[in-house]
Amino acid sequence: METLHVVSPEGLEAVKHMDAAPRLDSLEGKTIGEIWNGVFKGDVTFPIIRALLKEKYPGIRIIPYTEFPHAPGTDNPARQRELAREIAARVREKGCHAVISGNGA
Amino acid sequence: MPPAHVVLEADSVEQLLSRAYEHAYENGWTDGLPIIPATAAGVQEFVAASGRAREEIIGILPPRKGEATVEVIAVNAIMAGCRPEYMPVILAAIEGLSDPNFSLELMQVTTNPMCPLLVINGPVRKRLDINSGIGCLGPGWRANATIGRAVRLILNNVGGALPGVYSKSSFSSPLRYSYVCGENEEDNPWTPLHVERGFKYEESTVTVFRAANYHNISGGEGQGADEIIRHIASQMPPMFGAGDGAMLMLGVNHARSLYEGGLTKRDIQERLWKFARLPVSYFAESFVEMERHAGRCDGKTVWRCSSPDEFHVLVCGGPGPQDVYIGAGMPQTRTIREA
Repeated sequence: METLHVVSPEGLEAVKHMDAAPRLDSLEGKTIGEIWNGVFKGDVTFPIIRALLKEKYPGIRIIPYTEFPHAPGTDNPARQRELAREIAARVREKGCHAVISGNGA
Repeated sequence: MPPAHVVLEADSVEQLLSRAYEHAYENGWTDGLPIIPATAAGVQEFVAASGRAREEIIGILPPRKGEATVEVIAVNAIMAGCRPEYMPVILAAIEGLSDPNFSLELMQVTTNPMCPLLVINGPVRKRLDINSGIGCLGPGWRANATIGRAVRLILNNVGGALPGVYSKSSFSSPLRYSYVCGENEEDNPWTPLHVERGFKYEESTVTVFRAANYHNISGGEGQGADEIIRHIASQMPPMFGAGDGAMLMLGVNHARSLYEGGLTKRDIQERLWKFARLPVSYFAESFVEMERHAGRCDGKTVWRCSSPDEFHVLVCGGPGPQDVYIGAGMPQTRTIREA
């Protein structure tokens, strides 16, 4: 029998794993924020998503993407981090229970 | 803590090698191609060749936040088929990719097929037989093929950019297997890239770019410096994913023609900036608006770059009326610290 001891190429992780926040049971009566990075037609898709959600959950409150920073061309990592902090602060300020952070067409 | 080991068994050496490949593939450790299995002895040899401590962390790679230690980088380099003496190049590349200004996380998870492009300068090119001349971006040279492959395996295995899992690249790209070449400094009549970026001529460096494509400009159209640059610029359309930059790898023939025509590199940058523009009527209105916001539109034309500085002009490859345009930006240059 031939044997070979091989080494894993993955290495360790520098972070501790955390559980995701509990999911919302329903969107009824909840406040939802729209987060857009300014590309891939979010200005077209968000109004459609908004209308469909309001139809399904009449008590939902939606804060449109225009209420959050949504500048395009955020290739600059330092600016990205700054934007993430600004968005998180605005989400808290608006009392959002959840946000839609990715969509496109 | 040393990396995890696993013991593989088979009835023959031939079966064992096949088993090692299958094991790596089943665990998502490969790019799909066969690998050289990394053993403890091999890792030790590669770490020694790096001249660095095995536990030294070169970077924390997103999205997994994996620790790219010298030892783990050695494992991936072995698997990719590298020679031990390639280690300093790979370490320098990972240092550059880990720079907080490089935007590696976006590259790792986006639907865009952007990928690292490594340009190597200095004497290390000769010592390691890194091709910078004829065929420099194609198959046939071990250093070019395996250094880039090692970087890809590190990004996948340590960074966790597993295709279809964390990497959401819609099409991905063949350039993600390996995208590496040296600059042809010997046939470059101007200043090479690393000197332009503040390093000494005799230093060896790797510069990592965020690259979005590969486009060969063929045919040598145009008479004289002005027409040559016009023809090249006509094939540089605006695009997503290139980190705001554009690279022109001039072939040696055109480099000589432009130099003899009296052009400096700055002249070439300025002319590309001026000529690489298309009418706004060619584009969707929303794209025009985005480019206006980014400083690449004057209301009449959309520009490839917002300033001449964003054009990176290199000399690479062998003889022939060919040049290469690569959407490439966000350069980070690091010294290759040979052991």
